[in-house]
Amino acid sequence: MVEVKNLKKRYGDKQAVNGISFSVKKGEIFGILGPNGAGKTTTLEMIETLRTIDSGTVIIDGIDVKKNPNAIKYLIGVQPQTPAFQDKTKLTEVIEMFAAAYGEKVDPMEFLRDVDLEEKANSYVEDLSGGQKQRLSITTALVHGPKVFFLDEPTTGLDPQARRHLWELIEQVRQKGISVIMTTHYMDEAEVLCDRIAVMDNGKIVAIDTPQNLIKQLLDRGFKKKQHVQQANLEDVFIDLTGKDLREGA
Amino acid sequence: MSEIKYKSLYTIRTFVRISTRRFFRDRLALFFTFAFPLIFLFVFGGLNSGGGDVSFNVAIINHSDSELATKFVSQAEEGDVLKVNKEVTTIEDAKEKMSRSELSATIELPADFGDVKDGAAYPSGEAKVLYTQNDAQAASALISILDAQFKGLNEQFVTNVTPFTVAGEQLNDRSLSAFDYMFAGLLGFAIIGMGIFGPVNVFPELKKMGILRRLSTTPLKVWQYFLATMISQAAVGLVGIALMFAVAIAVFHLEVRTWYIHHSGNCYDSWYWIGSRWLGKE
Repeated sequence: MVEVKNLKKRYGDKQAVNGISFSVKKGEIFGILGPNGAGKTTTLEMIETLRTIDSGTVIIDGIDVKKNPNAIKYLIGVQPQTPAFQDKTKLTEVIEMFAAAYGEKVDPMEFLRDVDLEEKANSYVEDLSGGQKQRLSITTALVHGPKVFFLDEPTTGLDPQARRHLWELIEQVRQKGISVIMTTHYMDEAEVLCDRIAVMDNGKIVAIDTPQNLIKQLLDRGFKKKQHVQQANLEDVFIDLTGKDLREGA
Repeated sequence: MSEIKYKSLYTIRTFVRISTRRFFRDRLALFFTFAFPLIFLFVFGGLNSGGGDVSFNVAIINHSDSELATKFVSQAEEGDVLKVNKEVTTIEDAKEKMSRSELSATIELPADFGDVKDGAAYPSGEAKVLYTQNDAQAASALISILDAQFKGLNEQFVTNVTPFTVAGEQLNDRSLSAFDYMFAGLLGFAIIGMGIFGPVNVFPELKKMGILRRLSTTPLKVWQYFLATMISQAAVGLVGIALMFAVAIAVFHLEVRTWYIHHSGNCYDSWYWIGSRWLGKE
């Protein structure tokens, strides 16, 4: 579905992305990990047509991003790091506007139902919590039925319940046959969600494989972690005490 | 109409509808767009309305017992031109009130005003107009008015032949008032005020929030978004201007002359022509 070959991007003296290549299959969740400044967001933005490509090619569903960026916009859905909407806009109107941007007329309630925001349909976006805004942002990115869905650090700043709920949503997106490319700083998130992971550092991919294989390769190299047998962690305690269900306002 | 044009039109229409609704939900924007210019309209309209009638607040200090002086005072009190303050009876009171600008001027009639002097066949006298520096203009107008009145009075006693005269004739009975001229300025002020909440302010805010960046991942064209915002703002602006006109006409009796109607008709014709060309109609 997505084919990236020798992709490069330079900002002045800094080579932000230095000849990376990878491919993403249909219905696959592909994670891009790496420290700050590794080139993750720049890579996503080049694929999303938001930044010009210095060299290399990106092909999505047979269409070259560099040659035909306008056609690509109909194939992709984008979830930015921080969802931003104009104040005093109702949720139904946000959906209508994003659908109209693609020339589509949709039933907003259908999309709000998918992300459990049906009851908030007539609320204004500024009254939503961080998690609700992320869910709204996801549904606005899917109004036109894209083939590839990009998420940039989607769960940053969310509480554990909202994070897990978002994971379920991303899983549902994949079940519709949509390829998902996401960046994250949370390793547990990547381990739970991603089928394959590319680890980036200094603009290059230093490893690419399934989470299980990456862990196995590390262990095969003789890595030993200090044994610490614990059947649960603090997040498990938090979830156990406060419940797994999504809260009003989460 | 082709499907592309229809979709493009639908996109613009949706953005216009939602942007306009959003605007009317924002109390701050509503205040500065509609209420703020109306406050100015009421303040300046209140100061400048009054129908153009001229009158002077004056005191008349009459030292004369003559019949003519008494008649002059009573006529001045009954007339529309002078608003005579009857409470002021002494020069000292009058000077105090003039210093506080409560009176425009004081008319002093001397003791011999209206008496028939020795050897004269008719009464005479000199009325004195006292005023302060602040009210020099009003006093000057008052002197002219009194002069004209006395000229009429003089003609009753002495017949003069005046070969050359001048007469003024008003051609229409609806002349523009000070408010009518001021309203154009207020309208300009209101339009500038609308700009504060217009595209000048909207686009930088959207860019700062990252909304334009998010929209740029969709096929939405810049011109579509810009046009939709402009149409929405123009609609809001027209409502604001209409409100200004309505209040100005209803409360301050604004004179709406033909050029408003003439020019709005031209604008409609132009937009109809552009619209029909764009939609592919004749």
